[in-house]
Amino acid sequence: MSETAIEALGLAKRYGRGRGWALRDCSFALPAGRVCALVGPNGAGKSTLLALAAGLLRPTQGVVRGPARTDLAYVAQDKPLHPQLTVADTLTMGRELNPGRWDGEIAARIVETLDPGARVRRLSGGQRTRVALALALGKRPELLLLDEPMADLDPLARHELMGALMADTAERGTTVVVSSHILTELEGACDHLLLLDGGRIRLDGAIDDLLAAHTLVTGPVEDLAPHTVVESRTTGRQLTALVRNEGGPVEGPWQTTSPSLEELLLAHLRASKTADRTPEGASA
Amino acid sequence: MSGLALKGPYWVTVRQHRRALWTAGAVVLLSLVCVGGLSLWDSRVVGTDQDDGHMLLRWGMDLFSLGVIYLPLLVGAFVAGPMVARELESGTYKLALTQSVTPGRWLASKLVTAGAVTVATTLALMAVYALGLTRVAGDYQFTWDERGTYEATGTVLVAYGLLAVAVGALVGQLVRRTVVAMAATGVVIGVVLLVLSVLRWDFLAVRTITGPVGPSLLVPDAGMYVDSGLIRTTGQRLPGWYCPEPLDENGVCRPDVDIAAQYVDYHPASHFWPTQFIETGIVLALAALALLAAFRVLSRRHPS
Amino acid sequence: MLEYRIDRRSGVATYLQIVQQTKQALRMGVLEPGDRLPTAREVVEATAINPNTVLKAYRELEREGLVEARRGLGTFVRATLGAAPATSPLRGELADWARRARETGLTRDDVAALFTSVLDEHFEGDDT
Repeated sequence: MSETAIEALGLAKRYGRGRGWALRDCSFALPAGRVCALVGPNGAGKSTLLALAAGLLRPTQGVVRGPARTDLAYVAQDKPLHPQLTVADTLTMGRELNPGRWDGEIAARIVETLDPGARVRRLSGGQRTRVALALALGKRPELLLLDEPMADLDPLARHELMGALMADTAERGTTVVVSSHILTELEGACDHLLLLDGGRIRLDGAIDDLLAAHTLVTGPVEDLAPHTVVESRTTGRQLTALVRNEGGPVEGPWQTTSPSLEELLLAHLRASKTADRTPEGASA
Repeated sequence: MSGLALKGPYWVTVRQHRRALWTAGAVVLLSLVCVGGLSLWDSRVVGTDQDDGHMLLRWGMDLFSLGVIYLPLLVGAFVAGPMVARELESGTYKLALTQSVTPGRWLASKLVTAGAVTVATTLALMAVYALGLTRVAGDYQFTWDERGTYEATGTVLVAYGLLAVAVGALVGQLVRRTVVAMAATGVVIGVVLLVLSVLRWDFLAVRTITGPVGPSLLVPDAGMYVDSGLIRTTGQRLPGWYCPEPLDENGVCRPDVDIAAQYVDYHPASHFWPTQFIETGIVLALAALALLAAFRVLSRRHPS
Repeated sequence: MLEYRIDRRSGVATYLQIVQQTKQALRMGVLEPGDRLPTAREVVEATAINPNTVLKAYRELEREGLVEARRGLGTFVRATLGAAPATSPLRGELADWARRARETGLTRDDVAALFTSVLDEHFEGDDT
């Protein structure tokens, strides 16, 4: 399990000089077999990171090391498919372009609700997502990169396809990186988290570890030193703060609870926003 | 098409552009039906060039000559637009380039397919053209050096087709917009065609015949007229209009000008193949350069 | 075959929900020794949760001695839980009591509240 599926070192991307950095100083290592949620607000750099990982973009700086082209699958956000091909044609394309590793059965199961003779151009957004996922899973990748895959799906299809994805992971140990700006889509399915904001990684680790490393504190407004405060808010005489557990348990007049994943994410996103506003702000 | 055992990216390319393939086949068939039909009609009236059948065949072959020159432009526009730029514009390249084939094989499959279809279609159209030409060859506007006839009866047309494929691959990648890439490639191929159609008659030195001043000299051996005029005793050439006709029988033009003879510059029909081969060589060299550049651009953007 | 229902909004960790529902099934006699638990693949396909969560729950059940993993075959029930299978006389008595409670005009909530308060009184300090 300690094998690394994909890692980045000092990864940065800028789309042309004079433009801002889409991604900066990205370093992480994702263990194999993990299902990693890549979350962050719109424009955080999620798509850029995935396209770099898929080998579709050249990094401006740094490196990204992952499986070879033959061993990874990528579904772009806009689910590009050839509109003039039929569903069946598209799966045949998967077979022809991935000789020796194509699993037609897995692919066929995912599109079994679709008419094989239907042209891709006539499909709805959700149906296109199905075809794109079938193509990706049929390749039997070691690493599966999915950019906002569930956006076009109704709740039932979302549940079903996420189930199919998890079944594949359970069976073959596929590593999955799935991006979304809606956390609830991914909660439960993911065991690893990469939080991106403003092109930088704000949080990276196993979800259980991240949750265990933080405490949610509520109570009177007092100095929380020596604890590292990620983010704190005061309403009236009430303080709500997320602190790191480095300095031992929080002692004092406060109530402490374990944060939910959503609370953890929101606190870090608010913190990174504040840090960006202050010039050269120290990272939270 | 389905009978062919196409594999890998070739299957995908053919499947994607099935409609264009059928269209190419239909065009060849249509041209055969038209030219064949008109030739038959023409052959029923023997001995005259003035019957309706012959006039119609000439008119049809005129169109054909024009169409033949536009063929490379169409090929280039198709490769640049629907085959390459559209994949980049619509994002389907992300699909293709994350399968197991390398970017190089992906582009190569497109170019080999386009090249093969272009060569086959061009040769088929040339065969049909040759069929029609048997009845109008040598007619005014259908001599070996005429634009259209020259291209359709030698090797250059195939070379221009291949150049169009290569330039299309390059421009399509650089422009990345379907319609703009089509137009740009058409312009590039058009300019090359135009420039070489002027330059090609300078590849070989013209032949010259001279004769005494008198009635105009005729170009021998079904040759191609290039230039004619008068020669002074000093050897200097003067344009034909220098002396108003008619000259007197002594060849005296103006008292101050001493005309010794007249000349005609021409390309004999035997220059046809050497000129074709030189032009073909130049066009293929340009195609190779464009192809190299196209794969350079690809590998710079997408490491394999 | 046992089917797990995962409630993401319950606040209870997902793996604990699996542990609790398995124990419930053991108590109710839905699962008996020798029965095979659904494979991780089957569970995640139906629930869209992470496979490691299922494995974590199964490890917990194994640690408690309730199930055992047989390599390559699956996870099997080793022991029953509690003494109140669905067919026990206690269940009959409770059903009888519930019918009488209803006849006296108690609502469902009344009965639940009553039952819980008696439960709290008699099982105080016990783990669930």
